[in-house]
Amino acid sequence: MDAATWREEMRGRLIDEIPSGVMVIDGSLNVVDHNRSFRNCFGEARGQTCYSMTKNRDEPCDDCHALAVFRDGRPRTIEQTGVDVQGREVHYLVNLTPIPDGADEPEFVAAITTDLTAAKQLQSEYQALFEKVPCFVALINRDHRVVKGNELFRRTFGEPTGDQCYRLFKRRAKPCRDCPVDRTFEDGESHMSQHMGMNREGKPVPYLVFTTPLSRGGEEVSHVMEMALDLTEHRDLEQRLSQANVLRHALVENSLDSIVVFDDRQRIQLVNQAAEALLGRTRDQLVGRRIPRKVVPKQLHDVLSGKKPQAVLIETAVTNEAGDRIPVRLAGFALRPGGRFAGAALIAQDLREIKQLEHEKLEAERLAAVGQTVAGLAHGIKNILTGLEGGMYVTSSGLKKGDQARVRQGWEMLERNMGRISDLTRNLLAFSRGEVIDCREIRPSEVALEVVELFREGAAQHGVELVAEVDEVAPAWMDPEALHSCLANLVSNAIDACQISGERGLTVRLRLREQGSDLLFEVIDTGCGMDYEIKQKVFTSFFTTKGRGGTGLGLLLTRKIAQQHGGTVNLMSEPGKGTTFELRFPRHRLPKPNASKEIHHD
Amino acid sequence: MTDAVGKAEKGAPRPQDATVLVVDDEPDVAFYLGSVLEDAGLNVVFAHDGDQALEAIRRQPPDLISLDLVMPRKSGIRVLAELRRNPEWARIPVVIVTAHARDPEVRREVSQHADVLAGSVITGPSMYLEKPVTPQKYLRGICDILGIEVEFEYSGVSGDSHAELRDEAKHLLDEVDAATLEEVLGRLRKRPT
Repeated sequence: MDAATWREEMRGRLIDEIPSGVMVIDGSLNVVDHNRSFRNCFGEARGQTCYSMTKNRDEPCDDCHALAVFRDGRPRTIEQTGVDVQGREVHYLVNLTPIPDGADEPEFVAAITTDLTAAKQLQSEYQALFEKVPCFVALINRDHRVVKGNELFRRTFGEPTGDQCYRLFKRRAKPCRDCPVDRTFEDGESHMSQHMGMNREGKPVPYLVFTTPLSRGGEEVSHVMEMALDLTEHRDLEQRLSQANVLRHALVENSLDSIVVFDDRQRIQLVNQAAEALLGRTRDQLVGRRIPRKVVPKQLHDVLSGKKPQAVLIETAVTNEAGDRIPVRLAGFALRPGGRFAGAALIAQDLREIKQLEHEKLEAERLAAVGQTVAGLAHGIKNILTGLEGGMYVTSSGLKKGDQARVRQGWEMLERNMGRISDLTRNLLAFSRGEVIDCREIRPSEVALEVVELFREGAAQHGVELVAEVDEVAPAWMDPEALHSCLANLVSNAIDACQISGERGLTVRLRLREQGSDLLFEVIDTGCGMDYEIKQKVFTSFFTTKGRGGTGLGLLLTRKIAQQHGGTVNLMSEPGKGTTFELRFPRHRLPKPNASKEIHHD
Repeated sequence: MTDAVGKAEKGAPRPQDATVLVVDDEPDVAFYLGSVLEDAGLNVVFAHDGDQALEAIRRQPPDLISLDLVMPRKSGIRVLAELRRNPEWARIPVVIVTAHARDPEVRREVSQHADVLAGSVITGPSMYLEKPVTPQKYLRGICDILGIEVEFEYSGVSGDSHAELRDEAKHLLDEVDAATLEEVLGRLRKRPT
C-alpha cells in the first residue's frame, strides 16, 4: 500500500469513527456516501434520497437548505427534526458544507449532523422545572424588566408584559433600594435577601429572593434569574408558633405549681418562678445542672431516667436549698416526642399552705368539740345534782321516819351519783388529756378483732350476737389505743341499743374494709334505733339515753379521736330497725409518721 | 281521782285524792320525785320512757304528769304532742322537769310541734322546772296546779348553807356564756400535756 492509498484509507476510517453523522449528497439530493454514525442513526442510505432517509418523505422538503447551498455555495447550520431508522423522532443540528468541483460550483454537499435529542429532552425538562417549581422564577434584564416568569409568578403577580420587576413584585414606581438584581448585575455573583411584595389581589406576600447571573456567551451578565420563595405560610406558621410559645411561656412561668423540665441526661432545662421559690435557687443556678438526687423523692428517679413513663405522689416532700423538707404533691412524667425519650418534667404543688389550713381546720374542729363539751358539761352536772338532791331528800326523809330501808336507799342514790361524778371527771380528763395521739404503724384489722373478742362474751350474755366482718386491710399510721376506745365505745353502745330494744336474736356487726382510699369501720346493730331528736343530739352534749349508766361522753370522745386521725363519725339510724355508726378515715388525712407530733402539739 | 281538780269548788282537794304520773328515764330521779310526792300524801305512778308513759295514761289518765324531756324511744316533747292531739288528755296539766330547758335543740323541737301545741285548749306545758329541782319547789309547783294545800317540813340536809350552795351552783351553770367558754377553752389549750 503506497502512502497515498494509506492516507485515503485512514481518512475514510476517521470519518467513520467520528461521533457525528456525515453524509454527502449530490445535486439531485441522492446520498453518495455516509459514515457509520449516520448509518447507525438512519440506516444504509447510499443511492437513496436524503429526504426519504432522514425525514421519511417521498419528496424534498419545501425549504430544502441543501439546495440553497448548491445555489449559493455558502455553508449553513440549521436545526432539523427527522425520523430515525426505528421511526423515532430525532432532533439534530446539521452543518451543510459545499464540496466544490474545481469550477467553484458545488458538486456535492456534505451534511454533518449532531444529535440534539438528549439536549432537547433536557431543555423541555428545564422548561417544566422552570414552570412548575414551587417558587417565583423571573428572568430580569438590565432595565429591571421581567422578560419571562414562571407559572407561579404569573399566577401571583400577573403576566409579565415587559413591566419592571418592582412594578410587578411590589407595585412600586421606582426600583427598590436594596435590589439584589442590581448587585448581581454589578458583581456577577448570586445574592439572597428577604422582601415584602404585593400580589395581584393587593395582599402582602413575604418572600425570600435568590438571584443568579445569566450570560449569553460573553463576559457580561445579560440577564439575572430571580428565584423567590413564598414565605406566607412559613410566616403564618412562625407567627402561630411564636404565639404558642408566648402562651406556653406565660402559662409555665406564672403557674402556681412549680415546673422543672429535664433533658434526657437529667440536666435541668427549664425552671419556672414557682420552682425557683420552692427550691430556694435562681434559674441561673439551676439550668444546665443536674438536680441533687436527695432533693427529689426516689420514686421519681426512674421517671427522670426514662425507665418509667410517669409517677404521681399525692403527698411527699422535697428538700430545698436550706435543707427544709417541703410538703408537696408531685407529678413526674417522661417526655417522649416522636416516641424517643427526650427528658422529663416535674410538677410540684406546694402543700405548705394547704397543710396549714388543714391543720387549722382540724384544730378548729377540735376546739368546737371541746366547746360543745364544756357547754354540755353543765347539763351533765345538772343531772347529777338532781340525783344528789334526790339522795339527800330520800336519806333525810328516811331518817325522819326512822325507816332504815329508806335511809339505805337514799344513801345508795348518793353513792351512785358520787360515782357518776368521778366517772364524769375521769372521762373529762381523758377527753382533755388526749391532745396528743401516739401513732405508729398498726394493723387496723387486729384492733378490730381485739374489740370483738373483748365484747363477745358480754354480748352473748345479753343474747346479742357479735359478728366480725373484718378485711385484712393495709397497715395504717394510727394510735392503736385511741382506735380501740373508739371501736369499743361504738360496739358497747350498739349492744346497749339491742338491750334497750328488748327483742331477741339481735346482732351487732363490726365491719372493716377499704373503700376507695378510705379506711372504713362500721358498727351495725339491729337494736332500738334512734329518733330524729336523739340523732340530732348524740354528739352535741353530755347526752345520754342510758339513764345512770352513761356519762354522755363516749361518742364525743369517739368523734374527737376520729378527728385527730383526720377522720369522721357518721350515723344512720331508724327507730326500731337499728343503727349504723361509720368511722371513716381517708388515708391521705391520717397523721404522717414524721408530722404527727407537730400537728397536735404547737 | 280525776275529779281532784273538780272538787276545788267545795274546798281544797286532799292529797290522797290526786294521782301524779312521774316520767323519767333515770330511776334515781324518778324515785326521788316520786318520794317527794308520796311523802306529801299524793298517789304516784311511774313510767321510764315515753311509750310507758302513754300506756299508763291510756290505762288511767292521771291528774298531772311530771315529764322528763330527753328519754329513749319517745321523747317528752312527743309525749306532750300526743297528749295535746287527744281531746280527752289535752287538759291534763303537765310539769316539765328537765336539764335541757335551755338547750337550743329542745327549743327547736318544741317549735316543730308548735302547731299541735298551739291548737289545743291548753297550749304547752303548765310549768317548766329545771333540774336540779329542790323538793320544796317541785312539790309546791305541782300542788299549786292541783290546788292542794300541803305542809312541807323538809329543809335539806344542812339547812340554808346547802340551799345557798345549790343556788350558787345553779346560777353559775345557768350563767355559762360565750366569754366564759372562751376562757375555759383558752385554759384547756394552754394546759401542758
